[in-house]
Amino acid sequence: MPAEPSPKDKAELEQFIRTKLAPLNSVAVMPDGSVLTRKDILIKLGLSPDIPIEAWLNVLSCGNNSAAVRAAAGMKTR
Amino acid sequence: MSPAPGLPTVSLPAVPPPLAATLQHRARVLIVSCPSGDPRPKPCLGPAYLAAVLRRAGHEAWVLDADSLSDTDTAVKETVRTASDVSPHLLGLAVHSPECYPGAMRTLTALLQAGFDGPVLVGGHPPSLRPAVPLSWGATAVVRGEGEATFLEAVESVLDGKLLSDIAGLALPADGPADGPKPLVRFTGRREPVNLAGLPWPVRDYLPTTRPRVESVLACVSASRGCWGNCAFCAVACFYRLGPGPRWRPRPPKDVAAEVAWLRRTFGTEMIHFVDDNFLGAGRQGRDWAREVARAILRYVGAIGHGEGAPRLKIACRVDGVEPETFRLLKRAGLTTVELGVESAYQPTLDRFGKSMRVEDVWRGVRCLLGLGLRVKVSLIMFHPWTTPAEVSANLDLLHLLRDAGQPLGPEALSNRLHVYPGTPLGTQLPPGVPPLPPEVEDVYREVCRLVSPGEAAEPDKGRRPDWESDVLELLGNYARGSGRGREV
Repeated sequence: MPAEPSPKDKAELEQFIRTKLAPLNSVAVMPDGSVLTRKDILIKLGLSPDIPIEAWLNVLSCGNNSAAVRAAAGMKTR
Repeated sequence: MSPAPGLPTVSLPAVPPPLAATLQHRARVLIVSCPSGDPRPKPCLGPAYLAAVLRRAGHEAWVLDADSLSDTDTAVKETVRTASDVSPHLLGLAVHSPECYPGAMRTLTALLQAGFDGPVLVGGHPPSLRPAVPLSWGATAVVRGEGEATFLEAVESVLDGKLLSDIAGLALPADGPADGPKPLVRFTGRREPVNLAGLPWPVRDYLPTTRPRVESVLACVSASRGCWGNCAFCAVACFYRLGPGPRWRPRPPKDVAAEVAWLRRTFGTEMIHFVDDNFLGAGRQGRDWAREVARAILRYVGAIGHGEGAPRLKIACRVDGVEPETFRLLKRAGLTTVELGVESAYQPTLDRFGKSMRVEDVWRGVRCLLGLGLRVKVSLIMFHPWTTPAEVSANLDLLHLLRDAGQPLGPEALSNRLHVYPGTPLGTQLPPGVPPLPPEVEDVYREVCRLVSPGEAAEPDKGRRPDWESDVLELLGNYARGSGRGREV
């Protein structure tokens, strides 16, 4: 049986997560002055904004969100 | 200017100086991991760290992993399209290996032809050691050495309409007549090394591309930077000598462990690949640090709750730092695989390559890891201008030890050939590139490559014979027994 997680370790971990995670791009101010959200930008890129951020890691080497790529992209895959 | 054939036509905005008034002092930056042609590329953490630093400073940063796209054509087109959609004020190109150069040059050319007229900064090991190369393609500047502080300062200078020439850590074309010989490089080094303890964790939301899903879920983590070694073929020490401070610098162990636990909890990451140049650092300091990392991982992964379990860990290190107590603890924390940069089991070659270790260290380290039941991936540079049958024979002894212990050998152990990189100690003795082999060694090398990588570039292992490793060992054995002459050292 694994040991019960220590409250101190839990608190330290949460503290690291609070201070070390960089924020996501939330709002983009475009050169024409318009304001786009992250969702707007993803749609502009032809991607589904509804894919959870977790999906972006669940491929080899943690980089890419194949699930979010539009089917019509026509890009070659490995 | 008309776009290059096959590239989309895009209209990208000029960077209006100063930007602060219209953009609320927020820069929008796109950082592209340039295509390397590697069929199995790993993500480069450099752009992800830059993006994290920029975001924490309040800017918008997007990372495009163009290296994960199928080929350079696709990568270039996607980069131009993404640059059009994101409209960055400044664009960064990450060149993590010399193999990225062709893709980086094509990407930069395509961006310029498509009308992008904002600053383009290039960074990574190869451009840091030879900044004149990307500057000659039209890059605005090269970020030399570790880039976080330099890149952020450059972005904020662009935003404020200031000159990039005032920024330490950036290499720029030297002033001179427009039609005269160009460019001598201007460069002032930074005074302080990047404070690893103060860095945010690298972003993980790379812009999506089309890499298909696979079963294994792996994330890369950087726990330390640099290496104390002075290996003659290696660019790592040269890269870290560009900046001040020790050549091996670790992150705080708890910081590393918390990132591992967060990756496990958030993404279900099954394997953590530590991409450190040399996980063990130097001597006792390095060993103590590695043990602290292991203890902290055990605590924090335990803190994420029952049922999660520990992710498997993979590290790379010098073989002479291996000792049982540290690795026993790392194994308890989840370590399953150790990549060893052995390069040779032949003393004259270890000496020639400046490895600063004895053959006995190689055998002791490998035996120690095998005894602990760890997967050992050995990297050897078997093919170089001074290869002899005696050396191949010594390497074969090591390879047979590994094989008898049930370890797959892989291309890294069997078919590595020396590459000479500019800026390295070997680069001062030999021209950059792939030096020629003695004719009989060249024949053996070609035959080994045919067995190791019979497929096309995209799928090099397609068509391998079932027992291809035995075939390679037999071929090498024939050479070592005297079928080839070689040149004695």
